[in-house]
Amino acid sequence: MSEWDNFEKWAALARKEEPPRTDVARAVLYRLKQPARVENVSDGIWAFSTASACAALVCAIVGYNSWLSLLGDYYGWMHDFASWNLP
Amino acid sequence: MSEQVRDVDQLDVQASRQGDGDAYGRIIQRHQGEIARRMWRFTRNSADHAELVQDVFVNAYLSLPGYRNLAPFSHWLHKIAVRTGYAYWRRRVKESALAQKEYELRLLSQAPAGHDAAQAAELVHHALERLPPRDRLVLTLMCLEGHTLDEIAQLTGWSLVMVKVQAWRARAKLKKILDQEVVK
Repeated sequence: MSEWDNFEKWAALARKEEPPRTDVARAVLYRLKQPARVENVSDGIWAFSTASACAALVCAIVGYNSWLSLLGDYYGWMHDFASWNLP
Repeated sequence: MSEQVRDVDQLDVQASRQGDGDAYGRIIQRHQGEIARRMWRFTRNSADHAELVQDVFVNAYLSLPGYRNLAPFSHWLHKIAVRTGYAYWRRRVKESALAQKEYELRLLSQAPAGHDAAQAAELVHHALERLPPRDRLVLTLMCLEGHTLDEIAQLTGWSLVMVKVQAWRARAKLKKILDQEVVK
């Protein structure tokens, strides 16, 4: 007889077990009568908006500086090129 | 389930949808025995068990607007019970891995001899506890509840092919675990 057959015998025996008695009607109705916990939505919206605005500001500053440095290199190179004279 | 119970269920469901708490109380009274039996497969802890049974009825009440009278109410309720139990396992998967005790699982490779149903259930529960929740669910429904693959597919909402594959894999994993216990 295989191990699996034995396991199925144990499972068949386990099926006969009676669960603990429980009466949940009152507890369920009590839970359902409690006001639903609603999170404060406006707080979440404010937090999200503030975080987004801060992130956008940081991106704008970093992006603008990068752009300026890029232009600076470009104009610097243009200037060097224009002021370069052949001997 | 008798036609009479189905009709009474339908009436009480209608009333519950309109906010009649007594009607829902009657539904709970009628079905809590079966649900308690099913949820006992998901936990061996009495406090967790009572809470799980409550969760099933709370979830069912909140889902009542989506209940269409296509199948008997009890079938629908058992689907919710299986999903509630599965969600419970998924939440607890890390805790149970930490809290696993040593059980005489090697006994499972021999035929039961002089053991009672509670001892058998305890051992089988702890053997299945070592599997991931998805495997555990299929084997629990198949071995402990005696459902067919078709019924498992209906209860879980998975496809029949997926249930077959899952059952095959789960069996292989459990066999491996039992083999390791025998070697120990």
